[in-house]
Order: sequence, then C-alpha cells, then structure tokens
Amino acid sequence: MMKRMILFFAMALMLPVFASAQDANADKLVGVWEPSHGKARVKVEKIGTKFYGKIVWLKEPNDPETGKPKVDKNNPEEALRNTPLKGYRLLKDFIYKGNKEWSEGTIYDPENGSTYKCVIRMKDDNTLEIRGYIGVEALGRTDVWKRLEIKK
Amino acid sequence: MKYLSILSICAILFTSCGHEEKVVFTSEEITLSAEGPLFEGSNTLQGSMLIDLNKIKAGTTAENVESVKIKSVKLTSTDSLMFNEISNITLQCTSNDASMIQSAVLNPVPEGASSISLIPSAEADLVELFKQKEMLFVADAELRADKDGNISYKAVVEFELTLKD
Repeated sequence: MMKRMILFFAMALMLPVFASAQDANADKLVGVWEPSHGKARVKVEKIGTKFYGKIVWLKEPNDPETGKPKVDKNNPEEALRNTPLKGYRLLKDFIYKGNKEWSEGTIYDPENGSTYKCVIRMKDDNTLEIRGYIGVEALGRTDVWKRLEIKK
Repeated sequence: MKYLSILSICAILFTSCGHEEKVVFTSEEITLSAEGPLFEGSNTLQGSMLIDLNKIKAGTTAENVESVKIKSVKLTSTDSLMFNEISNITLQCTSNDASMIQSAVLNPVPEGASSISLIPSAEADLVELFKQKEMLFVADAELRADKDGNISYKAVVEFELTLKD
C-alpha cells in the first residue's frame, strides 16, 4: 500500500515535467519553413493556443501578367481576390496533439483557391511532413518542408 | 384534401422558421498592435474584443445567433506617420475555440491617410466566433521598411448579427 502511494505521488510530481516537455515540442513548429517546390517560405507562429503559417517570401513576388505583386486571384470570394500573397495565411488553426503532430488545421493552395484539411508531422527538428487531404487522411498528398534556419 | 396537406406543410415550415431579426453592433475601439523591432515585410498586429451578447441585445444567448457578417472595418492611426509605413493590410478574426476567418483587406493602403476603411468579406460568417467569450483580431500589415518602434492602430468594426428567437 505504502509503495503504491509513493509511486502515485512520484507520478503526480512528474506530471508538470511531462507537460512542459510537451509544450516545448509544440513550439518547435514555430519558425520559417520552405516547401519542396522552393517557390515560397512560410513563417509559423503561435497565436493564442494555436499555430498559423503565413507566406513571408516568394521566389517570384510579381505576377508575370500584371507586373505587380501577386495577389490571391483564385480566392473563391471576389472581395478578397486583392489580398496580397506575401503575408497570406496558408496554415490555420493547428493544435498540438503530442508526439510531434499538429492537426485540426487547414492548408490553403493559392494555385487553385482550395482549402484542405491538414496534419503536420515533424520528422526531425528541421523537417516537416505536411499532409493535405479531403475527407479522410488516407486520400491526400504529402509535401516535405525544410526549416530555413537550421537548428544545431 | 391535397390543398389541406400543402397548407399544413406550409404552416409547419412557417412556425419552425421562427422570428429573425437583424441587429447592427459596433465595437468599441480595439487596439491592434505589434511590438518592435519590426522588419520590412509582413508583420502581425493583434488585438482582442470581449463578447457579451447580452449587451448587444438583452436576453440574447449563443443559441439565438444565426449568422454574423462584417459590415465595415475602420482603422485609425495613432501616430504622425499615419499609414505611410504600410503598403497593405489583411484582417483575420479568430479565437482559441473557433477557426480563423479572413475578414477584410485593403491593398494598397493609400499614402497619407490618417484613417482607412478595409474591404470586408461579404461571405465570412463569424457566428462561431460570437459564441466565444473573446475574439482575437489578427492583422497582417506589410511594412515598407524596418522599424525600431511599435505599431499601433485603433480599429472600429461594425457587425450585422442575424438573431433568431
């Protein structure tokens, strides 16, 4: 009985340690990331309790047709088609689920104006697997993103 | 008999629809700010607003709110630089328990303006955000050049709520 009580209290004392380790892993998503196509860089930041990513750099910032900075011309809503792509929030509402996985978020593809459900998995500190899907995760596509400033 | 059935269905539909009412609610001044140093490019300004449905209309609860549209977003600069330091701005609304929604944009921001009106989304429905206690405003502003100090704007947002009995 005594042994069980000691074990219980030891576990209770360790809980905050586990929780802070979880938080530290959650914030590892924060940083600047480059998708495999290399055409953009996305800065992930934490707002409230969730994670969001916006475009901070474009390889070709100007639209070749207009010569002006690219805008979200494929947005399903006409009133928002003048939104600049630089600064656009592609990743929205990601929640850390533990085990280096963030889910319940969405990813927006400015190439076609579509929004997909998305799950992010961190393979190592500098590599993300971003899986966008419609409906079930099995029917999706994965892209590998690399951290821009490599952590040592 | 056929007409009686149609009449009955119409009566059921009419009574189940209930009474709808549109209420315009204007926020108090919301401070949107970002702490410096800030860098050329996209910077994030944040502000928040507490939501008290009972203050919007006495007796209103989350269940009564059918939809919430943005009617207007007006930003006022709090310093002498006015809006000269940013080239465009996009406003999103979010909360910890509801999804982020792109709500308004202004691109480009006219130089020399001391106040600007953003173009609101006609389709964005903020109903889930109005069921929370607090709503966050996230504005992405494109800074023309690096800046050591902070940025701060005052926002007044006008919402149109559709309330149902």
